[in-house]
Amino acid sequence: MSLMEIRNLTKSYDEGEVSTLVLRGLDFKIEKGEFVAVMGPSGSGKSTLLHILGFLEKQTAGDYLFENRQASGYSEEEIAKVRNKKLGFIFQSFNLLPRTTVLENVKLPLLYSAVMEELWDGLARQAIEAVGLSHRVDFEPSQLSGGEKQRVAIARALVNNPEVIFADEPTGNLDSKSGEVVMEIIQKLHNEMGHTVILITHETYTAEYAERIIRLRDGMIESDTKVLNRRAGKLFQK
Amino acid sequence: MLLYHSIKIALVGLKTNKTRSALTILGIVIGVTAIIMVVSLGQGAKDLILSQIEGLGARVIGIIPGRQPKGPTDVLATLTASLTERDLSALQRKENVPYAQDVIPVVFGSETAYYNGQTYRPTLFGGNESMADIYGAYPERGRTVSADDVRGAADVVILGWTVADKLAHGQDLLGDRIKIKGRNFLVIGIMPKKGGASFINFNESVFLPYTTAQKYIFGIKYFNRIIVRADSEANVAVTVEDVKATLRELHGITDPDKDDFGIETQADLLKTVGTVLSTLTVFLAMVAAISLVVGGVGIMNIMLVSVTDRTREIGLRKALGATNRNILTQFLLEAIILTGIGGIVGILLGAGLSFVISLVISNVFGLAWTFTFPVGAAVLGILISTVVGLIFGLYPARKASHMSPIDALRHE
Repeated sequence: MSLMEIRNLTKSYDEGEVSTLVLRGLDFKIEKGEFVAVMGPSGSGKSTLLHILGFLEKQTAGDYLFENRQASGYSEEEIAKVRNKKLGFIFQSFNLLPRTTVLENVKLPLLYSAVMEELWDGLARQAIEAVGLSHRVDFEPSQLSGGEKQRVAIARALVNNPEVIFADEPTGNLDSKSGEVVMEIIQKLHNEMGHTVILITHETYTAEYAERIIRLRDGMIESDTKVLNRRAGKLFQK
Repeated sequence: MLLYHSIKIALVGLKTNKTRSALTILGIVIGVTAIIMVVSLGQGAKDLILSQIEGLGARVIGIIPGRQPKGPTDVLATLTASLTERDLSALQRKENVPYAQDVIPVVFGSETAYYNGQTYRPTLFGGNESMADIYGAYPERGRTVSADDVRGAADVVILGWTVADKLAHGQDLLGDRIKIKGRNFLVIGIMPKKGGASFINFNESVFLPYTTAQKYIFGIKYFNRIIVRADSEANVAVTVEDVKATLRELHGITDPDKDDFGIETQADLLKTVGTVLSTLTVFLAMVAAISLVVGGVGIMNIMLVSVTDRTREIGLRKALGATNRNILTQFLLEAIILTGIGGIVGILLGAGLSFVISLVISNVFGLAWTFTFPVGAAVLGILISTVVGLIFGLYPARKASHMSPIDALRHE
């Protein structure tokens, strides 16, 4: 049983009379615990694919099965629940709430969860520790560097212990050093805690942290390959 | 998600946008302040006026000639000559009206007074020796009308302060003569200068024996009023009945609906004036309430801007698991909390300002003005402002809740 399976997945955007086909019939499976990078030039449809897999958008045609269930059959409430409990998002532009502390930002998903309030603080601090930011708990986003902001976002994605972590160009706004730190944290989460990770990037260097690379071009799969020489993180190796 | 958490989220949202939140509620604050002030000051004015009416004496009963008007077009019915000297002497008899302490006939009207080329048109009050006592109208210098003046229809007058001032320009008129209707009248008293807040403007009045007024000035044989003062407040009701019985017997009336006279007590007057003032206050409060609606439109405007401003936040919250309902609740609560706070601030501000104004009125103008906190208006103010928040917050909140998370996250 695959965690995620797509069959002939198609997505088009209608703008007036013009219809743009963004995804042209994709097929693949992603197993639980995989670390997959989706690559492709801009306009190849990789962000749209991630949005569909992340329940943020609906496909135009084809099937998307999440845990063997048709995603199109989820109600609005169920979708919110899946996003909250099973999925974690990391965005290129961090999307932290301004004027809100690191701790409160990380707690945000818990507010919409069924987790008891007494546990929120502990869970949030645990997630912040996992990204190595315990010394920044009471800081606000404006006081953090870009790399630190993205690590807060990772902690936030982590706090509900989701099944899948979606990372949409997580290093896109970072210098290479911070980018490496962020990628190594993501890799560590995958290696040590077994999270399924779906990473979107256009850099081969970043994609090589993953185990498998799906390349898209013009809304179609160009290649789907295993990474032979996986980049191994230096920072968190024992 | 619990309501408590929603409130918390809304409060955090408001706190992170302090300046905007404060500016947003300004309209509501002003609206509620206005309502509280109108109601509080209206109550103060009402209390003051009613206490002044009561000051005229709760034991006073007024008898008006003519049938009681049955409507606005029926006013002519009151202008009759049904109260005469015969009624007066009947009412003065102890066996008819045992609890009457004083019975005072009153005639009044305007007439021009002359002195040394100056003219002035005061209101003339003709009464008897008890008149000064019942109106509290004692001259500053000189004397009041005596029983002898009344009996002999003496040509004597007591002048109100303004009358004396207008006629003589500071010259002392006491002991001098003024001319009314071609007849000379001896000035036997001058009234002190009084504050304006009274039912009869003593400053612009002239007092004289009713016999004199009837005979030489108005040329009538009836009275415009007969005032009866009961010996105690407890006996007012009995006295009213005694007066009615006496007059009906004298006028040969068996059906009370055909009475050719009316009775006014302080209680009636208090009720009438109280009703008028309350109506006025409610009207003004409603005008003030309109400003709350204006404030509500302001809230909607700012909330719409806020929703656009925080589009990314909305998208993020949805991506993290917020349902449409969560988002709707958050923005709706923000609006309601805002207007609720606006209402509370408005109540405090309105009460504070009313208190200061009441202090100024009572200290500077020396009136017996009391401050009242209008509990009803306060409750209503909070209620209305909250409802305004609910109504005007709904549209922006719905707009926020229906955003697609992706569009919201892409928003720059």
